[in-house]
Amino acid sequence: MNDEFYIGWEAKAAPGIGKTLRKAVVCLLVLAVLVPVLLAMSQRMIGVSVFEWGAVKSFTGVLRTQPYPHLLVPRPGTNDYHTLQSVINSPASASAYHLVAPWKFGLDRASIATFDGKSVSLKGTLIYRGNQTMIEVMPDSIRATNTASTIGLPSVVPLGRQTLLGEIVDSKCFLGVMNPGHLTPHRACAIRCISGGVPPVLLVRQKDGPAIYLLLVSADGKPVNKQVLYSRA
Amino acid sequence: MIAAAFLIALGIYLACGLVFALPFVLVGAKRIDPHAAQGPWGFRLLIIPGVMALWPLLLRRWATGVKEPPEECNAHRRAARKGVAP
Amino acid sequence: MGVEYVSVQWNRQKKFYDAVLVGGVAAFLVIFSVLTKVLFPRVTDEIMLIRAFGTGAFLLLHIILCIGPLCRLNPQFLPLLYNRRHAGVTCFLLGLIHAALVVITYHAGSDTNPILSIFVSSPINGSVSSVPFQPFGFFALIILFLMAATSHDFWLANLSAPVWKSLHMLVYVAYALLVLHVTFGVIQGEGSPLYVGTVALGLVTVLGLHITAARREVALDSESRLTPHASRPTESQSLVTSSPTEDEFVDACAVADISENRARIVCLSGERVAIFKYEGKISAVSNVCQHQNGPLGEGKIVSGCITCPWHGYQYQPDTGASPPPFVEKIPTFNVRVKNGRVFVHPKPNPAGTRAKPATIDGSSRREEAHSVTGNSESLVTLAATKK
Repeated sequence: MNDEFYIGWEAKAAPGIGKTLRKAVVCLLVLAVLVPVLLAMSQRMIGVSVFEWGAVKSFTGVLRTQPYPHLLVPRPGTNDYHTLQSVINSPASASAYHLVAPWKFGLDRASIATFDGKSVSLKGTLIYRGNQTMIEVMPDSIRATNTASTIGLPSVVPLGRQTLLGEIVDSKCFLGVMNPGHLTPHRACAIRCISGGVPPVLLVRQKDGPAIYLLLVSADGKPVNKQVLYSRA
Repeated sequence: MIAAAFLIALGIYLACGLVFALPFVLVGAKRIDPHAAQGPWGFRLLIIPGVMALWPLLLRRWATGVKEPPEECNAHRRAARKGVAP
Repeated sequence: MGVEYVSVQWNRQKKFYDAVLVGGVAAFLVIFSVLTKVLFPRVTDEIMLIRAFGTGAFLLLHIILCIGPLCRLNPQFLPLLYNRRHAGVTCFLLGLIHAALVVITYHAGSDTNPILSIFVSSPINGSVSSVPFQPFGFFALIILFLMAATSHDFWLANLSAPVWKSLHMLVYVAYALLVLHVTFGVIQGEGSPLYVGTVALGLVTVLGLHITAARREVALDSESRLTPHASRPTESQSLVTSSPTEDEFVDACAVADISENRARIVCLSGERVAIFKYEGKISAVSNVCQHQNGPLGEGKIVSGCITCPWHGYQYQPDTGASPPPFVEKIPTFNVRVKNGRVFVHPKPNPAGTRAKPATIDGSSRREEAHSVTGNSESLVTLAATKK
């Protein structure tokens, strides 16, 4: 009969128990190596998005506050005064960079209302995913520059009534501040961000082809953050 | 708002626990448990989170002048207390 | 052990235990993080760490929960139990770091108090993916905190072991909450079959081990339950037991059923009693160790003292008292030996009361010498012989 007995405060365990213990320790260490490998490898929702955290850059363009604050920036290679004029005249020649504030907030539209439609410079950090770009604007860095023309919204082209199935994401996190920044684990954060004024986006995944990002606005071109939060659909 | 009230109550409870923990680890612990009299600083720090969580129990023991930890209650000890065995 | 409290009672085995624990946890965290960063360079570091610490804590909790039933099934795993509380505190700390990162990442810097946000930022809309999973994690962490905060021996003594154990049984509530937390949380997001499979495998392992161990305990208890009435001598035994039963002594077992320096466990007076044989004597004590209610009857007499298999607490077999300077005491039972059988009085003596050990008489010894060692139904024999 094996009469070995383990006493923890003794210096050494009995040989048979020690042998079992060594096997158990090896098994546990194998678990500690194998499990993280399997779990890390089978993550599927981490996309290709970037938040250039810590890299603050200057941007110039025309600021618009409707429906959500954004900056119209001339396409690369043509960033002079005349181009800014052309941006105002023809928004298609510019890229639209959505503007948000640090943390889980959108830019306060009332505080930047005076810059609406004007040429401005600002400092901020780039957030991008696919062909979508956003700037986290440094507080109080927006300055009016030499151009001062005000313009209206571009003309609207109705595409008819469509039914789309997708996930409402907060554009800031999804575009790169958090990766992965969507689906259930991120839901609470999305709700806080949309509550804080970050533009809500409907993410429509297509079977073949890239995902479509649709900025959600009301029929009269106003933000719909509150409606999104309380729709509970 | 139930969640807010719950969190405020939890915060107040733990804050009271922290206020109680300081005198308890310095003086109270050795009053209710003589083995805590010479406890080193590490021991005193280690029990602070538990004191914050269970302070009403310890406060009652300290206030009622209990000098020893309680004897556990199980079937044998209960039966033994009922009378002296033959 | 009943002397002055210290921060941690370090010894060689605990240091070895902690080295493996810290090494294993560090390996898990580093491997998960480095591999995630290599495979998905664009991952947000905070989320990578949230996942590393969360999965690490969940795996460690599984291991912790499996140690108990494993030790019931095979005492050779007892070294894993010896310092389990350090594993428990580590599990809580991993969970706490996970939770702190979650609050900073997903809830801080918004228009709502970050802790309150855990509860109000997950409105239910009827779909599975909208079940608010974070509150499950919050309450599980509160339970793990209570356990970690009361893990010092000071709490065992001041809550008393049964109360302390009841509090620590809440770990099963925490585990259930965490299964829900993971099922309605990351599994909804990641959706990988491996994540689902891993959680299911963990659940099956934990439940399976517990059910197996529990069924064995129930079976052994029902076999070893004695009552004064039920143990009335049968006709064949009447000759040898007539005298003791007159004053309520209960026929517990044959002397030959007990191995030297070991015990046989019987159920008497609502709890288990450990009947030890040593140096030609028999003593019976309550099976319940005062420290953490470990099963003394599965222990062994070492240096003349009953030694608990869990943490090595010791008691003198005749008095039920720990040798000085320790002060733990357990109830003892009056015993008699007659014609090779052990009789135990069902009325326990107050903890620490000396009960005269019964001397194994000549006839008992002769019988013992001729007995076949096939009586291995008792808990303790199982404990002792398990390879």
